[in-house]
Amino acid sequence: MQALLDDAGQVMNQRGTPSFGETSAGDYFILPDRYGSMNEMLQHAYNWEPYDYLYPNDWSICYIPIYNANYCIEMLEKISHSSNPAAWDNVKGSAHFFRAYYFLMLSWVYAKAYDESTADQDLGIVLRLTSDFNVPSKRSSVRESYNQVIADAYQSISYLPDYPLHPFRPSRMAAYGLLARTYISMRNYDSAFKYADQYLQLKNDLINLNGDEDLGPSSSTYKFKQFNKETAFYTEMNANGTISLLLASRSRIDTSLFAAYEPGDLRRTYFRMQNGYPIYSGSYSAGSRQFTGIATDEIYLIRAESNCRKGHLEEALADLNSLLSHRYETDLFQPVRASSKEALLNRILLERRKELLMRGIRWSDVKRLNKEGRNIILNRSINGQIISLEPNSSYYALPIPLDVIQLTGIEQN
Amino acid sequence: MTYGYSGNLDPRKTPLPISGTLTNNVTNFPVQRISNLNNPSLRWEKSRQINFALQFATAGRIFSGTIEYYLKKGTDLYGETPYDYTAWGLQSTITRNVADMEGRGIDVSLSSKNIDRAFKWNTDLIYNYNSSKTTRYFTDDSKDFFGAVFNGNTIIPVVGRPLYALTAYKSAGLNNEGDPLGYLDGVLSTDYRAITNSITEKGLESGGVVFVGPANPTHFGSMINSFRWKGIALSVNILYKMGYYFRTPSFSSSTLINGGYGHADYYERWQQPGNELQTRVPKMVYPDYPQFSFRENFYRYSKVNTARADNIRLHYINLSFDFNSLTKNFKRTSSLQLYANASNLGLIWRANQFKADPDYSNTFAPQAQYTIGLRGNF
Repeated sequence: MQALLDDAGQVMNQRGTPSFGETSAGDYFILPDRYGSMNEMLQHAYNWEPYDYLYPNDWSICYIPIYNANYCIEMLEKISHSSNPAAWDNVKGSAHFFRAYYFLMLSWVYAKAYDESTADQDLGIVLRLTSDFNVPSKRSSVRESYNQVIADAYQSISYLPDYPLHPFRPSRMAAYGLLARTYISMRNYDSAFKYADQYLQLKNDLINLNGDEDLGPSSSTYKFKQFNKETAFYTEMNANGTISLLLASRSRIDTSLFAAYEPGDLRRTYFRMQNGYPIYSGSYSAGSRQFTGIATDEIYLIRAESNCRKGHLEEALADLNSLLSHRYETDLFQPVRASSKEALLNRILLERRKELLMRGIRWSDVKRLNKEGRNIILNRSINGQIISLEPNSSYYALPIPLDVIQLTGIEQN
Repeated sequence: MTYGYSGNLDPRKTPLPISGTLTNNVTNFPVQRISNLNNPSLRWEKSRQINFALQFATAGRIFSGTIEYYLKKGTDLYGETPYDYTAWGLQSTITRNVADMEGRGIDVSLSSKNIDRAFKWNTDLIYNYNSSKTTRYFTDDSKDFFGAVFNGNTIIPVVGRPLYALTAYKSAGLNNEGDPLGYLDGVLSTDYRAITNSITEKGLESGGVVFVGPANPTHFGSMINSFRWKGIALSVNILYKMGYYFRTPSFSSSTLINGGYGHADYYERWQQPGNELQTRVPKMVYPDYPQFSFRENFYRYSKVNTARADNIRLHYINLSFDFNSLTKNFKRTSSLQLYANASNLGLIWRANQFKADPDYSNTFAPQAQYTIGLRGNF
């Protein structure tokens, strides 16, 4: 069973997380002369127009690791723990972790942002908890979806080792990171702080862009080495669905976002310019694939944001400056000072967007921050026309594949 | 008269999933990858058959034969069916018990001694008739499933239709721009994606897909003529298959440009307005534009690329000479024979206009084989 969960390449890690969220968010744009050559599915996804699409897709791909996890959990019930306690625990913990991880990824894409006041009515994802395909799928509520993620992640903590044999494998550290991620997307900043803090007690080293063994060779297009010291748990975006919107042959990074990397910010070197527009090559995948796993920089930002929102500005500043001192040129780095809680929060959120670019996080952030009243309006410019996606629009729960709707009768978003 | 009842279990279909062993090339950890899903509710395929047989012969066995008639009922047959891939996203279809069927057939075998003197001429004729149809389809979800047109290798989920049948996109040839025309809601259309989706959604009722016919021969058999004169024997076997349909490959822009595989239909492609009256082959497009994948798929599986598969082929010719016939001095226990035979000699007749061999439309037909030899027993 461990071998089922170790199928990192095709099933559990690299095949991998959804792209639909990232391609629906606003950190990139399609080159105008490329728009016309894209197929309808990509055009509709880019324009935020509901579209009938079929297998294969993010939905199908995310439910493969969930199946493996369910199958392992069922099989473990028939195997005595005492036969091999260490292996049993690792399978049990890993299976619950993977299930939690992919349920969260699906919730970010296919459900509305978590809102305490409407979480019982808002439609969540399908929580498949069995390997038997004869059991019909039905949609849970958003509350049930997030509760399941949290329950599975908690379960995994008690079985997993602190550190994994390889970042493809779950660990207690990764489970803390997953809980921090989950709680911040629910805007539960107390719990987000708690688990970010537990993570950082196990792992807190950062890559120093001024010089570090985890940087790729200077001749390489890509900035980092794979499985670097910040990577607690490794996944990539899958290659199906809408991911080809992000191909370097058609899209570039939003220019105003690129301009937000100041002089002295070494993250500017993540980008290479082509005809005046930036292409991103700073993924922890050390290639063109998008790394979407759990890494230490994200957890610093979660703890900083949670602390800031709770009014603990000093602690928030300390985390932010720890991160930025590893990102800015040493001579030019000026520690951030807090003039007010609001100013610090704005800066942390800006750094979050810059640091976690193309990690499959922005879509969930836009949803959540609009629930905080930040009024982020996404815009696309298509053939000279501006299309906008209003905050808290129902489209923030992205459409479910047509064939799944037809076969199950579950409700479309 | 006989009556039989049997069950059939495909060993690949189990209540437990089946996986293969690999190694992850990053971690070197052993990996198990599931290739077949577990289906705890899987039942055996069952079939019952009733046969009526009659044997007859005229005086001196100049004309003899058997006639057999059978009725067959199959229940819980395995079939590919779309399923809720939320359960396991590696496939969008799954094999499970999907249908009941009913079949009937006739097997006739006749022998006749046309000439029975020093020169002998015998004819053996075998004729089979077989038809089957789906009588019940289990899941409502899939009974009208036409997301993919059928190639005749899966059970057709429509009651009253042949168990294995060929379906195709309904087609109206080419328009005056060289693009294939299909039907969307009863109107001519080149919106291939919408056509595909409406078929997925509405099945046969979409009007975009048609039954072409059975994918397996309904009438088939062979005829062997044997001639003998002294030590010389000649036998010729002809096979025939009738009453079925096939899909012919044609020119595809994407396989040419991306795969480097051409097709002779390229030379018949639409090149200028007016060509649509003479050819079914669309104009060449650059498949860079992904919407063309729907166009290519539509053309490939459209009605214009299907035809009757009926054919007659020369299976073999055997010629032999028996040295025993030259002399009476040979001991009867030994023999010496010179023989020549030729097999897989190809089609004598075919119904289709594509000049294709319907039984080998995607591959090369087996090559003709010629053998000459001397055979002795001492």
